[in-house]
Amino acid sequence: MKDVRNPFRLQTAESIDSDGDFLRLFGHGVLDLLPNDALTGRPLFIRSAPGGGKTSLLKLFTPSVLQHVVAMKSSVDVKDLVIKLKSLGAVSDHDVSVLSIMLPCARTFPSLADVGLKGPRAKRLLLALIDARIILGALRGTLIVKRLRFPDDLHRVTLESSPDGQIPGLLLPCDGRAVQQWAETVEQGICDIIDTLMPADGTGPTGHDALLSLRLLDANSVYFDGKPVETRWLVTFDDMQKLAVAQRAALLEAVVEQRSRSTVWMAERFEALTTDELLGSGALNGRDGQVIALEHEWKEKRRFDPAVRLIADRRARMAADVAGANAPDAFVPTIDAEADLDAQTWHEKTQIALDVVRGRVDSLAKGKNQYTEWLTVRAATDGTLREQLIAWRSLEILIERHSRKKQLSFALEPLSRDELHDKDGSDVRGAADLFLSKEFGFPYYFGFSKLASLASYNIEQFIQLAGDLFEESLAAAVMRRPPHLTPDRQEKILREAYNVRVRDLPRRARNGREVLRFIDAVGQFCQQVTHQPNAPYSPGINGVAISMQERKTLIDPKEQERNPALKAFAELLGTALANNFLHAELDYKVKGNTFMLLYLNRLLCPRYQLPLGFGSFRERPLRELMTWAEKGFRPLKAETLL
Amino acid sequence: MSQDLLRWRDYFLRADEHFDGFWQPFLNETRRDVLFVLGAGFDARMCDGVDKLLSFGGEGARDVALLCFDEGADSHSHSYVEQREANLERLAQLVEGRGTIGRRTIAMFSDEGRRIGARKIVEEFRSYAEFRCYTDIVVDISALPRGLYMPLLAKLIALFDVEENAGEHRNLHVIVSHSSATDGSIVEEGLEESASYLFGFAAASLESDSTSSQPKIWIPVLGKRQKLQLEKIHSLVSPDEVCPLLPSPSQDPREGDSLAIEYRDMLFDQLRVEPRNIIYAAESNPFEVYRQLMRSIMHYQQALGPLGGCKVALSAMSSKLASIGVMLAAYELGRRDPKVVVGVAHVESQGYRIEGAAGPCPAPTLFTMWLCGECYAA
Repeated sequence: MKDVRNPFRLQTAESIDSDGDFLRLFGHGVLDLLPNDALTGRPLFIRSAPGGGKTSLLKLFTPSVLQHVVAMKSSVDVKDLVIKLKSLGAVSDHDVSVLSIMLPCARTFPSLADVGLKGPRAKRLLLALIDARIILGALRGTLIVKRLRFPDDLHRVTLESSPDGQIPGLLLPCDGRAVQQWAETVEQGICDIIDTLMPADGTGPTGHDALLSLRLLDANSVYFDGKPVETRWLVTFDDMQKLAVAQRAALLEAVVEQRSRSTVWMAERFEALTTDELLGSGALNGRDGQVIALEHEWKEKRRFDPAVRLIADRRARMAADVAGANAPDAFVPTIDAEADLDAQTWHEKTQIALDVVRGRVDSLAKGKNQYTEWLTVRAATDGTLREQLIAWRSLEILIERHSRKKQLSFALEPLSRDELHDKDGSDVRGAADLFLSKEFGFPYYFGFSKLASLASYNIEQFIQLAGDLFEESLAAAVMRRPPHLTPDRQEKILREAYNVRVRDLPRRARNGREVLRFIDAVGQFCQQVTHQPNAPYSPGINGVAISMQERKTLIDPKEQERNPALKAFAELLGTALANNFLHAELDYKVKGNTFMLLYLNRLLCPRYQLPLGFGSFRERPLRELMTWAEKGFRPLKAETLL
Repeated sequence: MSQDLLRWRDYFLRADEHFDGFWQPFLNETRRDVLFVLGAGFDARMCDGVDKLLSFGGEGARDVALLCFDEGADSHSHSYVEQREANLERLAQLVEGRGTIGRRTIAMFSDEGRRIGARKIVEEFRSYAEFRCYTDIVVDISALPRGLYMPLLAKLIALFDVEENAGEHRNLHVIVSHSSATDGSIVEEGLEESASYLFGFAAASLESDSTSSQPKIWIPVLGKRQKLQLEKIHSLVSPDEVCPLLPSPSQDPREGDSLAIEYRDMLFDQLRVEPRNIIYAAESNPFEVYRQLMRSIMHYQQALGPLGGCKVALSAMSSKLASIGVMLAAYELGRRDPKVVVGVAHVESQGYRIEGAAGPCPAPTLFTMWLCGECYAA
């Protein structure tokens, strides 16, 4: 592999040259998200935002990578990975047990949809092209796991006939070379139809009625040196969202109807405005496939933090291998070692803040007997200076809350220490922490756990952010300074990462300017709601929601035709989701209604001083969001915030 | 490679005062029925070529096929709607009494939002029969995006090649009003999420699985401020070898150095491009770009032939003039026997924005290139 000074810059599976390096950098935590029967059960739909780790997951199961895993099984680098792969049935002690064929859907298939062929012919050609690629992949995979060369050793592979596995144009049985030639002819015939400048004259391959390749694989028709290849076949389709609607439907129908014994995985981008039919339609239901939404699984299983910790440490170790003693050999200590605002260096600033906050609380409570005990309790609080500061700021929030309620209820009874204890929860302290950072400039976004949160359950985003931080550690190491980053320096780097992300957006994406205006409006709205003196949604919100009914209106083609502004907003929202500025959750139930939640990507939270957790949002009418997109955010009057 | 093998070894290119020196007698020596094909754009240079050619007079039809393309409701190009209207008004005045203007609308997006402009512009001109009443077709690419004029020209050459085989010679000229300063101030906005291979050249064949073991050579013709495009195209092509083409000689003698500095991170730190892989070609001579590309590609094809050959992706990221060289090389190699798989990797954009102060710009220079017809009929 090329010398990579900062391996965090190798962000995607495609950018890593060799299988060995891929394995050295691969974080196997994502395997925890797969069901136990992933390689034997129903078709699996793997969905995530771009950069969620789908392609890396599919690449792990390719024959050459699994072959590497088996070869390296005694290495500490892959020890845990081997255990997980064994439990899934992908490898045994000495062999690869599953042969995967990976098909990137962005390649050629979408162009076929635009040729202008009639539906049935377009479908037949699509299936023929998929068949040709699956069969070629099966031959290639067979040779790879036998440590042979493709195409030189194809004569050792044969394809036997099977009762229901006849392939037009291919006379079975035949050897691998004949199969390759057949696949080449089919592929070239279809490519010529796509590429020709002259009007198509109807010539070319006739196409297939079904996925015939799956039937051949099911019938164990692939032989090596005269014996059937004993393996489980796995066919993976990457970037399914790139297929035309009719192509995607045809592929799903073929896979579901054939109920192949071979396992099929389909990875696609989660597009909250288009893909809800996946398991909702009559054709597809829970029996036909299982959906793994990576972000959702990370959140539910709480596995993201350890998974990215492993990824980061592996990359840091690789950097140390390249740079020797000049680079830190672990990532987490570089950002956690000094991530403590209780340290001596912060005492002066903390003391000043504490004096200000205490003074404010005293003023708020002055002459109001009901807060006397709360003040007494707080004054007796033990703990570090930082803990005391947060405790006093929390009390300020609670008094603000109580004084507003009091005006409504006229309750003037003294408040007990138990009441304070009940009300002073972690959410209030979270809000206090956030408010202090905004008011006094304390860093808030630092340390590994916050870094993992800022990644928004997105592996690529995590690697990018960690790479920015690690770059600084590398520079420090070169200058023979300690590689540890202070909290304020970390926060500065992470804020800059946001600037870099949005700087080129108008050039990088369709409707980039409008998307920026809209997400800025969402950010400002969340900031206004979060940073109210009584912190009504403590620790704060970082998302908005529209009802599922309004979402239905938003994506209804007839409604869009009637109202072009609706169409424009749907497109804008599509771009924001596709570029991972917003993270959507569908069918969220609250107050007897269901909602589509639109969370800000956590990377945007530092800009608006928002908390990083999930679960806090405010519902807004669709028309209001559309106004934000058009005119930007207009601050709300205080009473409408509640 | 022998220069004799090149279709456009002997070429016809005229610029500036030689532009006038060619067209004036050409249009007046005999009756010429001319069809101008041009895009309805906001670029102030849209009508320069037509204006100049019509000013030379001459007998015969002077019709216009006006290509109207809509880049979507959110395109930034809509900000310049007044300029486009002014261009159309100017065109109408120029052609009035001399010929007719036929509008042809090019759908840029499919119902599902995929880019189909290249395919649609090719479908717009279905056969050479529709050019029968013209002796000369003049395609003015000044206000046409690359994603449209490259496939259009490939289609027209293909049609006229068929016709030539039948013994008829129709002239195909390309004209462009070129100004580096104006080109530099027009910035693409709203790039597509990923790059793609342009229809009209090897596109699907480049992505063929059965030839995936063949090495891929990528030759980007570099221009300024194309980093995002370069990254997207690199991720599409995933090349085994990269040979950047830099302008030299060029109007600014340091242009090549500036580009090497601009893309240093990617080319030298990330892709480790060998300095000996860099190709140089004259900035304002598309046929020189074509020649250098042909030479390099044929060299790779020859060297890698015993191993099964190679596939080549070209990217035109520089001036329109240079992109004509790219188009010619991709067109010719795709029709050779044996065929070389050469595609044009490209990133479409949603529109354009004019950047920078509207200060005085040097007057644009008119270039004309004669691609098919009488002058090659020997």
